[in-house]
Formats: sequence, structure tokens, C-alpha cells
Amino acid sequence: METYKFDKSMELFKKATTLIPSGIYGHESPAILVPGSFPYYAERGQGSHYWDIDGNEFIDYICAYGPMVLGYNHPKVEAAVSEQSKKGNCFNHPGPVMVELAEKLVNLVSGMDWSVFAKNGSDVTSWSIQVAREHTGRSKVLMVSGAYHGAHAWCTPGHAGLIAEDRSNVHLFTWNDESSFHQQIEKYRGEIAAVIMTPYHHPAFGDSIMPADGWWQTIQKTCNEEEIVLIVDDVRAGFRLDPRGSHVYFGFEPDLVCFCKAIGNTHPLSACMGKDKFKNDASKVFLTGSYWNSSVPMAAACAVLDVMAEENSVKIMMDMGEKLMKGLEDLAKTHGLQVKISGPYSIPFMRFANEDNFLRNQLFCAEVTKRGSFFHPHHNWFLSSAHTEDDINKTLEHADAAYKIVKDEFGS
Amino acid sequence: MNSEQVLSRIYLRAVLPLLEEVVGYDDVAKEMVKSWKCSIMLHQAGGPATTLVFRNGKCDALRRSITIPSIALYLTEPAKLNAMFQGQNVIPIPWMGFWHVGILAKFTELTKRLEYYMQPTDEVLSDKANYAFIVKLMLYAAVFGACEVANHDDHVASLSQNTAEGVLQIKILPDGPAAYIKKTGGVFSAAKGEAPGAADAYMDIEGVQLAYELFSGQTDAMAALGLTDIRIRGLIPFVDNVNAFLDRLSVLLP
Ligand SMILES: Cc1ncc(COP(=O)(O)O)c(C=O)c1O
Repeated sequence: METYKFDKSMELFKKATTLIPSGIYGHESPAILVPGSFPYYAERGQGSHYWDIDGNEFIDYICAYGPMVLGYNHPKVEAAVSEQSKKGNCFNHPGPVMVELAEKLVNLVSGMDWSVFAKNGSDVTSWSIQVAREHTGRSKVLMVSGAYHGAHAWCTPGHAGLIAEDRSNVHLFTWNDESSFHQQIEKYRGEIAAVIMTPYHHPAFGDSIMPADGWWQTIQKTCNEEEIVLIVDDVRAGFRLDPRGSHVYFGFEPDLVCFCKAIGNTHPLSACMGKDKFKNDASKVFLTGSYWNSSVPMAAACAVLDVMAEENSVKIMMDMGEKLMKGLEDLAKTHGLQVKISGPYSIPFMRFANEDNFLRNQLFCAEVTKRGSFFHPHHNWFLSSAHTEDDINKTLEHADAAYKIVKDEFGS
Repeated sequence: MNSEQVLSRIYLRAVLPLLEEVVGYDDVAKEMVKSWKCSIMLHQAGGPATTLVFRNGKCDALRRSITIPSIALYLTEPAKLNAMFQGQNVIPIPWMGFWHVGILAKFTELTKRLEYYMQPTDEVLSDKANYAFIVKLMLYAAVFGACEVANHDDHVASLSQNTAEGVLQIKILPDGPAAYIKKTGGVFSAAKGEAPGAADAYMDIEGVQLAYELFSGQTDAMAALGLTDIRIRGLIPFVDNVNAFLDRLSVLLP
């Protein structure tokens, strides 16, 4: 099979580097993939597929890094978008759709009594910490080492442009390690405003790790006893494990929950939801942005929630993900290769079990991508409810060819 | 360690040993040392030492003390050592072998040859061979300097602790030079050339000009990666962290 070329992507990128620092920055930077083996610029998308500017078509298993959940250009979502766009997007006031969306979310998400909106995940993770500080009068925050909560100074994984004070109130503990958690609780007793955690651990460059038995119960009990606000960062997993919130999937009750990504099916929106007892604190913490009250993404989100309920999107994603990951595992065996699958099926990850340095995974994902299925070697993948059995079968064909190349190159 | 202490380590372990290369390349330096048969040890009180051994017209840099050097220069504080490397008039105390003090003046002359390449004029740089040589010095200073930062600088302590063990191989294409950084047993170390066996991360730099621009902070590395002029593969977080150590190195080294 003739594999894809990315000449136009490269040409445009060359121009971009003269105009834009890094050319493409952040999580979509080609530097964190395998440059030369991946597309740089997308042209259009439909369902579970998208096309790059070289005309290459991809079955998409990264889903815009999460925001695509029902399929690109989803008819019901886009109809809601175009209807709202005709009326307008930003005004001197929010649109009535803001109240409609808040009501839908409060009715849907378990244990949450109110909602506010912003644009990005980082907006709401940072704001939720302010709410916790306002509520407790304390300054410190505990988070899991290696977790990602956004690009703001207190949590960015970047190194540049930071000062020591940015992190001086943020302390780390290890996922699934109760003694490491309790050590920090004891060390900073009476000073901790919030514990912020993702519902399961999904670090880049690593396996996804589910909560150990009793982990969430320990966290919740300790937070309750110590009067620490428990914040769940459901930005990545939200609406892919359980539409009522990933805390329902894992069986615990947080105080505040942050959503983004899937909520708008590619239309920019994030939300922070909370329990009643934090509502007055939330009301005091200044929250705004030039575009944060825009109506179009909120109209999109209303449609997204409706479609998710109608079609049971989570089940489709789980089923398709299971077929994909079991298929990849079986195929690897036929090639005499060992892979390690981790994470829930709707947000899976795979790497080769006999390496920690990702060299095989980089080659494998590049070869699969060059054949038409977009896989990321270092970041968890995402399924959408638009993925079909046909997609999975085609992807397994791409994987078969790529496994062969890995086997030839590495031997095992 | 504070910045002065880290900087003195960088001078001793990453910069001073470059004399080894200078003596191998520079005709003026070669001429100076051709009859030298001595060892010069620089020792920072309570800190590291580097010994330069001269014989047969060559210089070997040992990143340690030796028992009986011909001459030992003792610097009481990191700040003094740093000032000396920055060209200020600091007189180190020769606490051993002061009868060899005549060598000291000559040694100072020799270090000027290092400066000639480390702070090159446009004219020096315009020579192709010099340019390639300077890039080699920059590469070696970078890998050894990055290790001093990673091992000792409080600013990067948690990053350095959280870096997985492994080997990063850096190579300037097509024919080198190459060098590698290794973390084993919690300690970073560097070496010239290619690492024995497979590395965990690779960084290939397309040509000496790009390498020069990269090491002198004149290029957008992320853009160069996207353009595939710099290629990294394997354990990318290792590369990323080394990059942070190098950024810190460039802040420390004036
Ligand atoms: C768990 C988690 N939290 C927060 C964020 C930050 O979201 P954003 O990039 O929209 O600011 C992300 C983004 O990937 C995420 O995955």
C-alpha cells in the first residue's frame, strides 16, 4: 500500500514558522508526535473521519484530543449551532440558552446543584481552586504527580516563564498511593483548600491507571474529615464514562466537577459544577472572559446532551473501543509482539509491553497513521459515537501492516 | 546548591575540560604545550576538582582530583572561582607545587585560547573548520553543563528527580560530533561520542549551522522539530527535561 505524504502540511508549516512561534504550539505541536509521519493541518471532518490539507483521510482516534465525541459535523449539533448563529453569538448579555444548558446539566450530573461556563478546561480548573480557597480560607492545593489540569502557571507541565511562587502552594502525591496522600494531608493539615484529581490517572507518556479498590473512598472520607474541597477534573473523561459524571462511574461524590472537551462536540465550552454549599462562594469569585458567555457553543452543548441521551453514546464508544483494543491485542499476538492496553475502552491507550522508551510505539503509530488511522504514541486515544465497526476493521488492517514493520525493525 | 556553587561546578567540569579539545585542534595551543609534562589541578574548597594532565603535546582532562599534581590551584569560594573564569583578576592559592609557579603564567595564556573559541569574533567564526570546532565545544559544554545543573541546581531539583533513568544520544549530522547524557542510579553523567548499546532517546541535529544556532539560543527548536531539522525519538520527556536543564545552564553561564 502506498502510504500518505504530507508535503502540503510541511510547506504550510514552513511558512507558519516565520509567523508563529513554534509554528504550531502546545498539545498539537508536531514535535510531540513523529514529525514527518503525521499531518500538521486539518482541512475538514465528517463523522469519525477527517481530511488533512494533503487530502489524506484519517479515521480519527484522537478526536481533536477529546472535544469530538459524537462525530465531526454532527447534523443535530450543527443545526443547533447554525440556528443560534443566525440569531447571534456574543451580546451585552448571555442568551437564554445559558439557563437552558445549566438546567440540563444540573438535572443530568449527579450531586451537582449549579453550573458556570467558560471556554477551556484550564479556565475552570483554576477557577474551581479559587472557589475552594474562598470556601476554606486556606491556600494549599494537592494534586497527583503527573496529572494534567491545564496550562495555567500553577499546573502547566511546561518549564519556561515560571517563577517559584507559581507552584509554592501546590503539592504532589502519588496516584493510588494512600500513604503518599496521607503524608501530604498530615504535613499541611489545616492549610489545604482543595484536592484536585482526574477520575482515573491518565498521564501522557504512560499507561492509564484506574483507581485501586477503596482509593476514591479514602480520598473522599479524608477530604470530608479535613474539610478539604474535593474537585474532580473531568475535562478529559467527562461524558465518555458516564453522562452523569465520571464520579458516578467510580462511585464517589466530589464537591466540584470540571468539564470541557466532550461537552461541546468541538464547539468551545467548559463548565464547572458544584454542590449547593459552594454556591455563595462561587458567586463571589470573579469569573468572566470576552467570549465566555457566547451562545453558540452553549446551543451546541444542549444538542450534544440531547443526542448523548438519545443514542447512548457512552455505550457505543465503549463497545467500539473494546472491539478496537481487543483486535489490536489479538493482532499483536499473531505477530509475536506484546502490547499493553490500559484505560477505559472509550479512552484507551496502548504501548508495547517490552519497552519504556516508546520507540516501538512511535514507529507503530506513525505507520498506522500513514495508512489512514490516526494513533498517538504518547497520549491516550479517544473513541466517538460516530466510530463504526467498518472503521475498526479498516484500522485493524492498518495495524496489521504496522505491526509487521515493528516486528521487522525490532524483532520482538 | 545555590547558583554560585552550581556555576563553579559548571566551569570546572564542563568548561575547563574543553582545553582537551583546544589543545587537540588549535595550532597556537599545540605549540604552547608541546613540551609540557605536568598536571594542573583546580580545586574548589569543599567542592569538585578538575585535573588537566599535559604530556606528549596532549591534554587529558580528568574530572577529579589526583594525589600529587604538579600544581594545585585552590579556590576558597565558588564566587572566586567563577570570577576567575569570568576573566577577573583573582589569584588562586597554589597550595601544592608552588615551585612550579612559572607554569601558571603559561597556563593562563593557554586558557586564552579557550576563550578565543568560546567567545569567537566574527572573523574566527567565518572559518569553516573553526565553526565546526566551536560547535563541538558547545555540544560538550552543553551535555556536561546540563548534568551539573541536573545533579546540583535546586531550581531543577524536582524535575531532575522525576526524570526517568535512561540515555539520551545527541548527534550532529551527518558525521558528528556526538555526545550523550545518561541518568543511572539517580545521577546524571555525560560523555563524548556514541553511547555503547542502544539509547532510550535520540536527538539528531541536521548540520553544524543549526546546531550552532540551537546551542546559542538563536533558533526556534519547536519549529525545527516540526520541520524535521531536529529529530527526536524515544523517551521524549527525557529530552524535554534536558532541554530545561540547558535553559537553566544558559541562565547561569554569563
Ligand atoms: C484532565 C484535563 N484537565 C484540564 C485540561 C485543560 O483543558 P484545556 O486545554 O481546555 O485548558 C485538560 C486538557 O487536555 C485535561 O485533559
